[in-house]
Amino acid sequence: MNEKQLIEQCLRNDRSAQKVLYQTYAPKMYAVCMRYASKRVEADDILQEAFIKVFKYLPTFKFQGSFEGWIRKIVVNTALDHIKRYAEPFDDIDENLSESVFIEPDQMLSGIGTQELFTLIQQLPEGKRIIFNLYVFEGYSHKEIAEMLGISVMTSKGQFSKAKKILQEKLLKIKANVL
Amino acid sequence: MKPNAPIDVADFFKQQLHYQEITPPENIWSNIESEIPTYATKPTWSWWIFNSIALVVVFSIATYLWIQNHSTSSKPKATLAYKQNTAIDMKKPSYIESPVYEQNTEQNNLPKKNTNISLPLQVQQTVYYIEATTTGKLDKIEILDSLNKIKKSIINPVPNNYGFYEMNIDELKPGRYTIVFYRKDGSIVHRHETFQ
Repeated sequence: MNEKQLIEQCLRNDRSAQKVLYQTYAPKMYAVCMRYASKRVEADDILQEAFIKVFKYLPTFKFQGSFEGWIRKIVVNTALDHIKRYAEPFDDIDENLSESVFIEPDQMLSGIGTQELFTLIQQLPEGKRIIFNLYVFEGYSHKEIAEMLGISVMTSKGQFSKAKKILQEKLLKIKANVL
Repeated sequence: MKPNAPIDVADFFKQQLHYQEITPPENIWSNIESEIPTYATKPTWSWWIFNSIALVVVFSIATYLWIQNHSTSSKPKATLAYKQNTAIDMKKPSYIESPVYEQNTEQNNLPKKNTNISLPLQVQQTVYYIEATTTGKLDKIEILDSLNKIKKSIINPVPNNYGFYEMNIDELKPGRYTIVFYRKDGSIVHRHETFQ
């Protein structure tokens, strides 16, 4: 059964097809939720809320573009709504931070587990975490992020730079502890 | 890229996490499942075929019934109309009043069953009626054709609710017939009719 047939089956109220659709996309989307949420239980809530929306708006999907992309957009928007409900206002960062924050990838660094990396992102403050995710994983520009979140482009850039700095420090700390 | 060349922190995270998948807890699906709406299903091709056939059948039946009703109601019926009675005993000088054929165009004059209203003046030709009061009680009624062959015979006829003897003349060919009434008192009455 291809993607189109699966969606059509779902729209015929076929519960098993709906479960297959969920099982196909939920693991990828749960990883997205884990990056946006500050803790696992919050990621659970976002995933649940997002998939309820996916099934609610499924009849509106016109088979134009990627279905996975369509679901991902719903998940990201749900995550933003969810986080913004509890997030503190974005603080403007005046300091002129550099665009690039580098780290030397060595054997030790590549040995850090993905769960640990997820945790590092989750530990970022809400605003920085959102901007980091939108810029790095969703591919939005700072201008688009600024429009989406109602902040200035400079704020978006500053928050992103700060987020990278925090992550760099944490990675270096992990390295130092291991060594 | 050299193996140990510095890498941007953002790129490092993207490489490590972008294609990651994590299996969500089982209970999330059961929560989602209960919230899935029931979609209005689109009619399938088989639905269209079934409904089209049903529509054609209904339309055909309706058309057939309309044509039948229309043709029977618009076509004037030959009817027998009687003025006031009376069949007379053939032994005495008498006459039998011949029925008058008329074109019935008024459906409202047809008799209605099980009502005690006044007797109908006009009846359809497929059934031959004779008022029981004009013939008296009968042992037998015979219908003879022009060659005096018995075409129909009714033993001990019983009048209907309206006081008429009914004879089905549907199967008789058009022509002139003699109807013979055998009375209970032994007398015989003849009557001549032309059925169309």
